[in-house]
Amino acid sequence: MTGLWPATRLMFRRHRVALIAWALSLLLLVAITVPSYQQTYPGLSERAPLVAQMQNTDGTRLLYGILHDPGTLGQLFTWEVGAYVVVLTCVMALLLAVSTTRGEEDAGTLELVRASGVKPMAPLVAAMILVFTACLLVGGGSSAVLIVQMLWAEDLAADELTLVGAVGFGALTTLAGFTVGLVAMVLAQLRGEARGARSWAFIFVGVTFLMRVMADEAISNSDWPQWLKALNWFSPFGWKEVVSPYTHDRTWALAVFAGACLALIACVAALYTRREYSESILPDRSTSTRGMRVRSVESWSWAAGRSHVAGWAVAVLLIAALFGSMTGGLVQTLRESEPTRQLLEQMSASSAASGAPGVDAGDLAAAADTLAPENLLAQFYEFLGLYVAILVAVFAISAVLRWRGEEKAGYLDLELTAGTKRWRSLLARCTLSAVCSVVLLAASAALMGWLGEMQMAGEVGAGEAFRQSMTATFGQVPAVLAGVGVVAVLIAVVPRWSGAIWAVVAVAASIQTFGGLVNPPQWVLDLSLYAWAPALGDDWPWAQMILLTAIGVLGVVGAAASVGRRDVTTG
Amino acid sequence: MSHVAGRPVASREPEAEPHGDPAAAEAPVQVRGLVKKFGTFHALDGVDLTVERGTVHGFLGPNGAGKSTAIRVLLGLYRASSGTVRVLGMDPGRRPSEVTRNVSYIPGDTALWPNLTGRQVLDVLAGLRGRRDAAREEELMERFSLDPTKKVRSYSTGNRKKVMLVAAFAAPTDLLILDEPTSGLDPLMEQIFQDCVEEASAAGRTVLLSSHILSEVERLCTDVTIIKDGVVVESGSLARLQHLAAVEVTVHDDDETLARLAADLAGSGIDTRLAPGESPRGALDFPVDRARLPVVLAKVAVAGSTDVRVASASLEDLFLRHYEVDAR
Repeated sequence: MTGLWPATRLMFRRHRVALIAWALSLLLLVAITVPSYQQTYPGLSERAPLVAQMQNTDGTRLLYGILHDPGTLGQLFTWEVGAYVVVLTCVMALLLAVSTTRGEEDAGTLELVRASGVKPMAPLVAAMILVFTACLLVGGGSSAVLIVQMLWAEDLAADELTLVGAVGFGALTTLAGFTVGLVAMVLAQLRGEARGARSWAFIFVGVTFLMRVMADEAISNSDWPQWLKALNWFSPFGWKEVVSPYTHDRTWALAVFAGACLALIACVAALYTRREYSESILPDRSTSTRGMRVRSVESWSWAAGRSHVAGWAVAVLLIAALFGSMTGGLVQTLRESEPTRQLLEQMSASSAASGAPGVDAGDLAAAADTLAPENLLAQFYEFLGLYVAILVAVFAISAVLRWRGEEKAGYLDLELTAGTKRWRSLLARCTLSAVCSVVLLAASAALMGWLGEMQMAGEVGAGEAFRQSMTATFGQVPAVLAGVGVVAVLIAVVPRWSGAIWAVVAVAASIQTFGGLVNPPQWVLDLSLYAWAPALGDDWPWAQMILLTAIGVLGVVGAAASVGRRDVTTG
Repeated sequence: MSHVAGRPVASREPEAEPHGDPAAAEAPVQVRGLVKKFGTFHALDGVDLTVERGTVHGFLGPNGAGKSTAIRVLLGLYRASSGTVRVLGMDPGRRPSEVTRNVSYIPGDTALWPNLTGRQVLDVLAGLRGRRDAAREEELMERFSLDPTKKVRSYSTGNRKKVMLVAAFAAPTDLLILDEPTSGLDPLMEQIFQDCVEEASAAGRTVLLSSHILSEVERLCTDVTIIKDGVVVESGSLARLQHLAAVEVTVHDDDETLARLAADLAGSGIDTRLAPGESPRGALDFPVDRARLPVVLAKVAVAGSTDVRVASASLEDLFLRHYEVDAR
């Protein structure tokens, strides 16, 4: 195909930073996981109580899927970090797929390529090659890492890692990511702009994730309709359960997924040839006689940002509704918990007596204690509150970062040269972000609490679920505000580095979510922004909550005060 | 070209208060010794610029000379590294919003919100400014034949420019800062643009016009400032600059006479652009400083040539001299 090689090289040259950053950070996550599990819980027997507890926690099943017995290193990896790796690989593929196809058309750069004597199909094939390579880097890289860890492991641990498991996990990750990337490319043919294609692709991710959740629930609960189990076949996120690396190792299913990819490739190509350059398959409504009422920079911020807010609000509330509706599963867990609890208490007593290395007696005692109804509920809400808070924090930060995005695109020039005060312009975005985040946290806390109340009636006291949900979720307000303050300061003082805020969020979120299994030192845990929601039974961490709120408020005020001192730069 | 800004500098005047009517007293744009550094790179290295009230001031220079950088300083988007900048009687570095409330700006790269329609862009800009002349907007949309119902995303470059032109001319402002406002416009629209600038000037508004279209500058501007590598190389009234610049001499005669004349002139250090041994082919055509014109004419008289033409340099000649040096 004429021009395929140069088009592919150009594609890699333009997107190499994103590609390398994604692949390296995901592979790093893969590489640290197994050694961390191994260090914390060296043997299968020490891991048993943890595995039992995790299998009985609905929140974790919701997010990661099913943890298979007996809980080997490979199974633990696939279940928890594997779930993250698959989801993030899919998000990576989605973003790369849209920006290499519709994104290049929006920017006009594809026009140059198409006008340089290459076959019309060459840039599209180049984009597919790039997305596949990215997925293969993560998937194949994961396999390689897991195989190396298997070869280096001690005899005992080596049994817990298998060659077929490693290959199966890598292959399914590659294919799941590539599938989502191809679906995003289909949507990029349908929609006339990158933004629209991306939001539809994220809706696809959300819906298929939900399908996986329902399928896994049907597998775990016999009272769910059993046909739902088949949904896993139709969701790239369910393929992990279909293949079940390190458990069932149904590698033959990979051929089916590869077939799905081939069908999608044909579909993208067919749509691509049926449309003109920069046109879309679906009609693009691009005329309107409606005006826009703008009275101040504040009302303009709202007018410009409300669709961003609305999109996030729908996503967060849907997830809160989903989380809240899982509370009912706790009832079953409570009824079944008595034997587990006794087992845990026995183990904690014996290990405390023998002083067995690697097992923290306090941990086990605490684990047993958590099986009291109120504590189980509190733990559940703490977990859900954390996830909702991280989502809302991502929204809050992206809402503020939009100001910097408008600056780079040159849109801010228009705003500021129409008599707008710069500090008011930035403050308006920060206020919008903070107010909407607080409302979103309150609304999702109330929603989850209300759903919990309905399902937990009779198991715990009236109002208990609502109170706990509000405490755990709404208690994350200071952390979210602190994020807004930090990003505002970065934008005002070191705008080039404002993207670094994502690293802060990623680290804080990783500490909170992986901290439980990896057991880092307490001071590392304390560093996390999201560690300071009030927990049941403990005193409220007032000092930390006030400190975080102060970081937020002072950060925003300081940013507004100092943003006028720097140049407004575009490009 | 050793001369600098042609007008007496009013820098000793007491600084006008931003309240009341400061603009009546001083020129709308007054820049003295403006330096703008990016790291160690001096984008602007001591620029002086005075734009008098009610004039159309051409701001010229080769690509990368620092025109847009200077404009961004005037708008308060960039902070001056040193020097004094006063726009409408105020320091744009300190009070950018008060300055820009009374300034219409057309950026060189027209980045408009892609998901808004043309009308919505006008609504937003007028809403942010808090002042609007809706009737004038309608009239200008008509004149520029702009369809305001389309989304910016589907506009061509020229149509995006038109949105900004309508916004800039319709806004009730005292100063217009236009950075290459006509790039991408068709000749008909270019004509309407020039009419609009003349109307604005007649209405007492001041215009700073950065442009590469020399015919446009020649028609519209009373004054020009040319900058190169962040330094002002020419500044003053267009008529005076043209007067000071080189004149173009054309002599027609037979080749033998012309070759002799060329050798004679070369002996006096006047370059006739005729390489040694090259045939003049019926005409000698070369620029010369106005001060040396008598010497040239005397030598032409001695040579006995009767077909002589002397013309003032166009802005283009004036300009290309600076541009050519830059290209090295």
